[in-house]
Amino acid sequence: MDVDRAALNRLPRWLVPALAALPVTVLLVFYAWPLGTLLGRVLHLHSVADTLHTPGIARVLWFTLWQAVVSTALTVAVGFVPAYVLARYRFTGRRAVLALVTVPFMLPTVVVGAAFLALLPDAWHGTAAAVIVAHVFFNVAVMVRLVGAMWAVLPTDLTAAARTLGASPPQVLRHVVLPLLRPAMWAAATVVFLFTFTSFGVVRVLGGAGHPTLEVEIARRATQLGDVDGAVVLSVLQVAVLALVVWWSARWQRRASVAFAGSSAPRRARTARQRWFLRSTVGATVVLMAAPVVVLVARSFRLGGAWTLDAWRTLGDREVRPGVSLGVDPLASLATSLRFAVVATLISVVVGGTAALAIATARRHGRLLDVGLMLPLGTSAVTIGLGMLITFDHAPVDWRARWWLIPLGHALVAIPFVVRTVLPSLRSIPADQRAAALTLGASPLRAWWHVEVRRAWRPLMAGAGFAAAISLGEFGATTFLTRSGRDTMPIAIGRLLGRAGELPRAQGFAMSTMLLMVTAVVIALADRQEVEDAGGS
Amino acid sequence: MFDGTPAEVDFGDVCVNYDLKWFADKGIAPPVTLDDLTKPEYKNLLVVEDPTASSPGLAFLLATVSKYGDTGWQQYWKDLRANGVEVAQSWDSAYYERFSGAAGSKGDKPLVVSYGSSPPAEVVFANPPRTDAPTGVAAGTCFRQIEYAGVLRGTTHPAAAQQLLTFLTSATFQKELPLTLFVYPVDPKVPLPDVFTKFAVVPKAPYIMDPAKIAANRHQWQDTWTSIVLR
Repeated sequence: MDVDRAALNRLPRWLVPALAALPVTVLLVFYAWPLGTLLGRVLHLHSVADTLHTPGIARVLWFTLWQAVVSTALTVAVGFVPAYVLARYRFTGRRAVLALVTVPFMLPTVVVGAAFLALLPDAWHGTAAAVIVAHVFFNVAVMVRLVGAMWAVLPTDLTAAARTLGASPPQVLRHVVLPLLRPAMWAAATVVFLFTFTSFGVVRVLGGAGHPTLEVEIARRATQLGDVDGAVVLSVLQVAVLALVVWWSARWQRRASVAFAGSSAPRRARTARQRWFLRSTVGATVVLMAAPVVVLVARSFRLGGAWTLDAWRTLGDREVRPGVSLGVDPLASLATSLRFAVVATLISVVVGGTAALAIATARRHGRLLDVGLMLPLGTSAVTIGLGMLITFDHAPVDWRARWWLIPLGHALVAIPFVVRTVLPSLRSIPADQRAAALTLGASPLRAWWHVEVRRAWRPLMAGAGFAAAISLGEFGATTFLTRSGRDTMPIAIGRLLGRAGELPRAQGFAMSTMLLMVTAVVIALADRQEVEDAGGS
Repeated sequence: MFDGTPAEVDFGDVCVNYDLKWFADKGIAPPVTLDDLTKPEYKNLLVVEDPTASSPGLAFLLATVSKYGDTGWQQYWKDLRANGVEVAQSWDSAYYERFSGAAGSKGDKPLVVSYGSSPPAEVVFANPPRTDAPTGVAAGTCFRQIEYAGVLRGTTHPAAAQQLLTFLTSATFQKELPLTLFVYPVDPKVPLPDVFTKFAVVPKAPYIMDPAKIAANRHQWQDTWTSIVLR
């Protein structure tokens, strides 16, 4: 009897494969194949030796490594106290401050670079210090979100017990809190290291020609020097280092993991000392997060020491002076960016949506697809772009000049975000909802459609917003695939900021402000969808 | 790569240009040769372009390789770096934004790697009009650039391509070259405009290098240059 009922309630066998077909195909053709081509090229050993013997390459590797380590260490140090305050204290404006801290993370990397170009004095331009400072600003959100999330659920009874045993607050921190936080801190440090190791936009804008990281060097070799073989070797080297770091960090995280149950609500600051501590931390955090962006917007209105709209007014001009063209039409790049964002969002939503449904419906076996779709996130954007460039260069797949390859590259990076946004909703559907539909006479397929698919709609819209934001700001992969006349805004901004004159730079700041506003609007809309959805369930 | 031999279309020289007014004000004689550029009186005055990103920059690098030889040019660039050479990423950036002698530029460097035909260009585009050139050319720093056009092998339009080539080497096209591209026509019978004969400098012995040698060594020279000058 039970077996019969179970058979009646089972979804058709073809459902999960049908859903998974599209995401798997996209992943195989546009990610796995290019990556495989990259790895295959490295098998020509003579080019490996040649590239590794290039003068200066060791310095590039060393710089990439040490700036990532220093950036990570500084981010952990700087983000530690804000993470604590935002996780454990309740105060008016807490959600606004949390949003403010997260905004830099979602900003296009070129805009972050531009903001620090505007903020830091000229002597800092092209130095390693500028790159590191911008990295810290960018990644504090990771500390606050990851470590803060764990700190928020740290059970107070452990710390209370330690206090009654006579431990002072620093001792409690060292012996109770830090060990419990270790997995979150490792996770945060790993994420920050990965992002700073593969940092492209920030290094390109702030590091100048003298301080390239591996990522910038790969792009330079492939697009400027025409040395694709060298770029491929460096790319594979980078993938190897990243894989090693992820594996090593995962081992440490597993070892450090301690399971504990319980949660504690954030409390209001009670004593005067706590209030002072809270206010100074929040104040410093707000200033640190807001200053670069405010200065960026302000500097777009300044030329030659005076306030003026000139930089904004001349944005449509292609000519710098008679016969000398800028090479990029700034306003047209806005239209191109928006068009690509729409296409990339459509692709992300369709592929990500079907993938999330497949993963949720397949239960155990869905994990493989889940991990597979996350891989492009761990691979640097430059590697994805380079892979596509060298794979799709012969008939019948000579696609590297096609316009749609760029939004597809954006979608590869955005799809994991869509999946991450939709999956929790699908997994949290109470089982009795589908059971109810079934008892009302719906076939398993129909019940699934009305309960699960309809349920995915709201978070899908939120995911669409994130996908749009990612597409608007994508710089690394686009650098490889861009063709003249099809420049996106980040590419245009990169070009403008690369010039030494005051006017192009101010124009670069103006365009960055535009990109910043468009991205902020898109993220705000997406966030609202997510919040509404969470409230509705 | 090409079907048959490519045809020469035009030539020009990449040379260090100097701002006449700046040097007159300071009472210093402008440099003439490559050796002069490493002298202390020209410290912190020169802007060059990155040879990996700019063709005049590459031409200047080739001039130094040509003069100092395969083993000597690294030391020359180390000396230049010690003498405060600035590197720009493009000719536009260097000439219009860093060079003090370009009209409308707010730059402060009186020496820049540019073209032998830049002084006439300054006269042609001068607003208000002027009858003398504001800049000069250091004749001992020039590298000869010859531009070619050729029919690519495997083209589906060989006849049309050949027609275009014939046009590019015809007098009709060649006489437009000086005032549009600011390069010299290869056809010696084509008359040059006055602006060119008065202000442009055609050095008698520019540095020149065999294209095959350039093709074989360019990447390695660029990499070495990057590690000496930028890192």
